[in-house]
Amino acid sequence: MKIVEDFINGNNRIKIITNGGNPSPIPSDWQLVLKSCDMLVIIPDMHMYIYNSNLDNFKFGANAMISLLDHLETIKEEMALEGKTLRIYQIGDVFEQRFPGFAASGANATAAEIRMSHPSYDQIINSMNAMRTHFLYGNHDFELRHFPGFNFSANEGKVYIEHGFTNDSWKDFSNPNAKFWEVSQLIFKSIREINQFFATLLVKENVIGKDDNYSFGVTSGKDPIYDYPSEDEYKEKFGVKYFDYYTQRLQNIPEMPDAKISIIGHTHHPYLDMNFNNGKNIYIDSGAWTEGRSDFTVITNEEIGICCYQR
Amino acid sequence: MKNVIQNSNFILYLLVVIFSGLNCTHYPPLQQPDIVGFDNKVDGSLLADSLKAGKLSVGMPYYIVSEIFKDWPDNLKTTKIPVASLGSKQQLEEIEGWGRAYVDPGIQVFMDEFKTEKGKLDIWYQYPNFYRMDVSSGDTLVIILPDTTYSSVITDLKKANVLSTVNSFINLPRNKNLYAEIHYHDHPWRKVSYWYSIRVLSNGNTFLLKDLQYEIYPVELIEFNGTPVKSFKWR
Repeated sequence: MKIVEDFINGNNRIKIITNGGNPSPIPSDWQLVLKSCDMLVIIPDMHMYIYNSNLDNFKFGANAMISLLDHLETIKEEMALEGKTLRIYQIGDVFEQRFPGFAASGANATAAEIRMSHPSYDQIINSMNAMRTHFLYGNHDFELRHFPGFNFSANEGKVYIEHGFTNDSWKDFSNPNAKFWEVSQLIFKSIREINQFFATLLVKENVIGKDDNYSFGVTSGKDPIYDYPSEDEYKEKFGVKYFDYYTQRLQNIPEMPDAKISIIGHTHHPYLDMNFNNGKNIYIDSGAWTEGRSDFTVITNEEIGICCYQR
Repeated sequence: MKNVIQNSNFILYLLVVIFSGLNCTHYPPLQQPDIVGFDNKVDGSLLADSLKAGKLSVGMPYYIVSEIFKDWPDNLKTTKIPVASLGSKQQLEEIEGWGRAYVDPGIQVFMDEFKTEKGKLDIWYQYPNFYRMDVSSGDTLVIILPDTTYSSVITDLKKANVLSTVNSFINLPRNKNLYAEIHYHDHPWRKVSYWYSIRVLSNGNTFLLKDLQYEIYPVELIEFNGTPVKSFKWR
């Protein structure tokens, strides 16, 4: 199947941001890379938080997400009529649960609380569930590992999918398996509680509006970002940590001896390397759907591309 | 002696004032929901008539509850409580280490509690897919438009949110959410289910639930002072 004809299908809000706006061909001797489906759509980090909070960075991208899901629903049903399968993955950090919750004093935000904070958020989750979206958990919604349907990683034919936190060191405070994780997250939540305290104060004093973003170190996402950011910057910031790890990982998945493609999220920086591991693999960082970004990845047996959805 | 009596009277007066103040909860007026907006969304007559009669009824979309209790203060209400099933009042909560509480993101039944002047009102509403609402083959799908009605027997449920009918309706508007009802053929306690957002696919006999969010979840159960009721009269 072809990305432009069969997936974008005339939807002018979808743009491919990699390879100069064109799909990248998958080597013919690797095909078929997908075995149990015909098309794979990967939605990366969303960080959905309580809608009315000044700490939420997702809300400006919510309507675009609803529109993408509507598009996916149509494509999925049309493909089903032809006996073909579209499979959708959300690869972690669907919720921002490291921030304080409102439902129970002192607790982290819960998924149900975030989902019910706005009709659009509920609609997004319902729509994903209705399409049987496969969920992986990330470091910001690590609690979801307790619930059925949330996994650490997934194998789809020759495609290996993971959130991407595994190779972070304890110093990054973003790897739930590393030491000091619990302590760091307790501190992190306390910082956000202070953040929330000042946000409430500023709203009360009319310094900021009740819907204005006030999240330390994170942008609001009010301004959309559709570009494909620097590959050199990605290599410099993440390459050292990630490239060796995922090269090794693809060679060491017992149930997947012919793994070819690795897909992660986590960094919020979309990146596609068609010549990874000296051309033996493809490496994809799907980017993010928060802080103004609206990235996602599409893979068919023939093509691959990171796309953005315009608001 | 006179001073003592005067002081006692004054203390008694103070206590009466304090206690009467404590027991006097201020209940704001219940609001009239937007009937015109409801008529634009719902083409069936039963619910519209009930709304016009000032009654919140089972089957109405949840946003009507929000509109009626728009001015209700936080100390007299708790809303969107995740619960396991209709009728359950136990908030779903999972506690694990360091005082954290986790709740399953897949929870689909919610409850609101309101303290009113005449008693306690509990309302349950839920995500309504076809499985959850007990739809089965042999039931009748009724699509109601302002000027006409289409109905057909359901042949099968393809998914939780997709069903097929015997008849094909190629004249129905596509890419538009429609109001529909399911009339049950044989259900122990329900005759009709109400759907606020359904869309026909290109073949004309496959229908898809669309744009489901809690504002259009149907109210499934109403309890007033612990007794199930079919409706709650707000005026």
